[in-house]
Amino acid sequence: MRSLLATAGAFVALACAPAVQAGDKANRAEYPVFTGAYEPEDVDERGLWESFDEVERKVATSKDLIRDEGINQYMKDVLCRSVGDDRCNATRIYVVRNNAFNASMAPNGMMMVNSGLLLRMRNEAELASVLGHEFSHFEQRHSLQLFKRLRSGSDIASIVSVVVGVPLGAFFLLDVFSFNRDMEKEADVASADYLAASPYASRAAADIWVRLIDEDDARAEERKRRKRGRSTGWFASHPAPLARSEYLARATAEHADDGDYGFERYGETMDPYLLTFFEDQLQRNDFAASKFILDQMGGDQWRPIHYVMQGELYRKRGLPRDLVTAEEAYRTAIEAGSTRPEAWRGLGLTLMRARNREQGAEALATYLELAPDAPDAPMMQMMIKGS
Amino acid sequence: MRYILAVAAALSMTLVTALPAHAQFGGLERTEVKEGYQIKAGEANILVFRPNVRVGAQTTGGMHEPNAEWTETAKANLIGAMQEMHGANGIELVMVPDQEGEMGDVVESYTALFGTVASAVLTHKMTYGNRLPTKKDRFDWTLGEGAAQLKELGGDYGLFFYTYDSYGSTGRKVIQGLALVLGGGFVPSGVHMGYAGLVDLNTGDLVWLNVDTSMGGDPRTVEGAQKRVAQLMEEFPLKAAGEPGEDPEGVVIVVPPATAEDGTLRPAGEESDLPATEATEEEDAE
Repeated sequence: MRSLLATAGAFVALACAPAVQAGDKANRAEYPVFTGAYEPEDVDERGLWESFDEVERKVATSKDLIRDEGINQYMKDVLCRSVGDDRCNATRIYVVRNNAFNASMAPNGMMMVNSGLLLRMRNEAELASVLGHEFSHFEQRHSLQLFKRLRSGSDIASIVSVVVGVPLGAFFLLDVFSFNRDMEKEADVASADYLAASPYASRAAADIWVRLIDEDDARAEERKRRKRGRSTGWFASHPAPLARSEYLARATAEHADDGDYGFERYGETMDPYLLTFFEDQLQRNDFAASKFILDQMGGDQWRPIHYVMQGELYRKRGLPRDLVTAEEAYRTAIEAGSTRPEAWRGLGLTLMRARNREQGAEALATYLELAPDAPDAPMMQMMIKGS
Repeated sequence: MRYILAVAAALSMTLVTALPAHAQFGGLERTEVKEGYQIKAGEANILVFRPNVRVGAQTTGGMHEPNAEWTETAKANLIGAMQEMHGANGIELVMVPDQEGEMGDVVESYTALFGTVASAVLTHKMTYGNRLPTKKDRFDWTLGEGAAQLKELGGDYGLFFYTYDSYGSTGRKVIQGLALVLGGGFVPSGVHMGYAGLVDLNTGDLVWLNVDTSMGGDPRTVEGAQKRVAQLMEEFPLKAAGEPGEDPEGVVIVVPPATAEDGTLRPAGEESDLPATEATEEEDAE
C-alpha cells in the first residue's frame, strides 16, 4: 500500500511539472517496425472479420454512440499521436456511453472506448496508452490467436471428456486464461513502446493502474469486503492491476523518456461531457468509488463543475446529512460562478427534499429560466406549483 | 485495459440472437399467422430488411467457427430463392439498402423492435406451457402505427429474417459417434435454425411469424437454399385475389363468367380465371 501511495505521489509531483512540447522530448524512442495495414488472411480470420463487420454496423447505429465530431476527431488524433500516423488509420474508434471502465478491440479493427474510461483518465498521455494497448491487440491479431487457442482447447476438452466419460476435459481450457493474460501483457508492453516513441510520457501508463487499485480499495472499504487488484487469479482475463502497474513502471524506467501529459487538451475536450459521464457513474450506486473518481478529477484545483458533481453525488445518496453537504456544494458552485442549470436544479431538489419548499421552488424556477426546454421542465413546473 | 474476449463475445452473440438451441432431431417449429390475413391484391412490394445470415462450422468442441465465404454465398442464395418464390406469386421483394441519417435511425429502431416483439411471441405464444392467458388464442402483436414511416422506402410490407447454420465438422461427428458407442450420451452435431416475420406497414401489425430450430436445406447451394426458403416461408400469408385497388378485406369475389374469345359464355366449371391460391402450399420437404 505504501509503495502504491509513493508511486501515486510521484505522479502528482510530475503532473505539476510544465508540459514538454511535443517533438522535443528527451530519449524519444523509434516506433517498432510496422508491417502495414492488413487484410484478413485465412478462413478463420475472414470469418471473424465478417462477424464483427456485422457487429460494427450495429455499433455504428447504436443510440449509445457519442457522435459529436469534436470528441471523435480528438480520439483519432490521440491515437495517431500515440501509435504514429502510418498505423492509426487501420482502425475505427467508437466512443460509447457506458459507465464501465473499459475499452475493447475487435479483430476487424473496430475499437470501442467507454465513457466510464474517459471519466477516469486524468490526461491525454493516459488515454494514449489505453488506445495504444487496444491498437496493439489489433496489430498482433490477438483475437484470432485467442480464437484458435479456444478452439484447440475445447477440441481436446471434448475428446478427453467423451473418452474418459467424465467432464474432466475442462482442465484443458484453463490455460486459455493464462494465454489471454500473456496477450494482455504483450499489449501493455507494446503500448509502453509506442508511448516512448510518441510525444507522450510513457510513464503515464502505470498511473492508471495505481489509481484503479486505489478506487477499488475505497469501494472495498465501503462494502466491507476484501481488497482486490493485487494478485492474479487463475480465471482472470487480465494481469492484476498491481502487476500491470509494476511491469509498466519497469518498462518506462528502461525507456527513461520524458514527454507531454496533455492535461489541458484532455481537460478541455472532456469538460462538456464530464457531468453526463459522472451522472452515468452515479447510476452504479457505488458511492465510495464515485467520490474517489471526483476527488482524483478535482485534485487540488476544484472548479465550479466539480462542486456541481459533488452536489449530485451526495444528493443522490440522499442520507439526511448528505442533503446538507449537497446544498453547500451547489451553493459553492453557484457562488463560484457556475452557469450550469444543473446547479440550480440540484439545489432546488435538495431543498425540496429537506422540506425547504419555498427556497427550493425559487431555485427550480431559476433552473427553468436557464433551461426552459429541459426534458424534465413539466415535472419541475409541477413541483413548483405543488410547493 | 480489459479488452473483450472478442471471440467469447462472438460466440455469446450467436447464442444470444439465436433462439433456444435444440438438438437436431425434433426441435421447436412453430408458425403463427394473423387470422384470415391476406397480402393485398395487385402490385405488392415487400421490403426486405438486412437479413441476419450466419454460416459456419461447429468445431469438435462445439464452438461456432464463422465462415465468411459460406455466409456470403448463403445470403445471396437465400435472397435469390426468396425473390423467385415470391415473384411467382406476383410479389416483388425490395432489398432495403443501408440508410443514412434519420431514416437510418428509423430502420434501426424498427429492426430492433421487431426482434423484441418476435422474441416476445416466441416466449409467450410459441412456447407451450408458457403462453400468456390473453395471448393463447390470439396473434395480435404490433410494432405500432409508426411503422408506416418505413413505407417511404418503397413497400407496404416489411420482411425480416434470420438464419444460423453451424455445420458439424468431421471432428464433431467423430465425437458424436464416439459418445454414442462409449455410452456418453447424445452429442448434437450441427445447428440449423431460422426465423422470419412479416409486418404490415400500414398498421404495423406483425401478421406472420415462423420459427424453426431444426431447418433443412443447405443454403450454400442454390437447391438447398430453395428448400430452406420453402421451410422459412411456411404458411406465408396468401395474396388476396382481385384487381389492384379492390378492397382486400372483401371475402366475396365476383368472378365474371368465363368467356371464349368470340365473346360467348363458356359452360361453368370448365375453366376458371381464379388465381391459384392453393399453389403456394408447400409440402414439407423434411
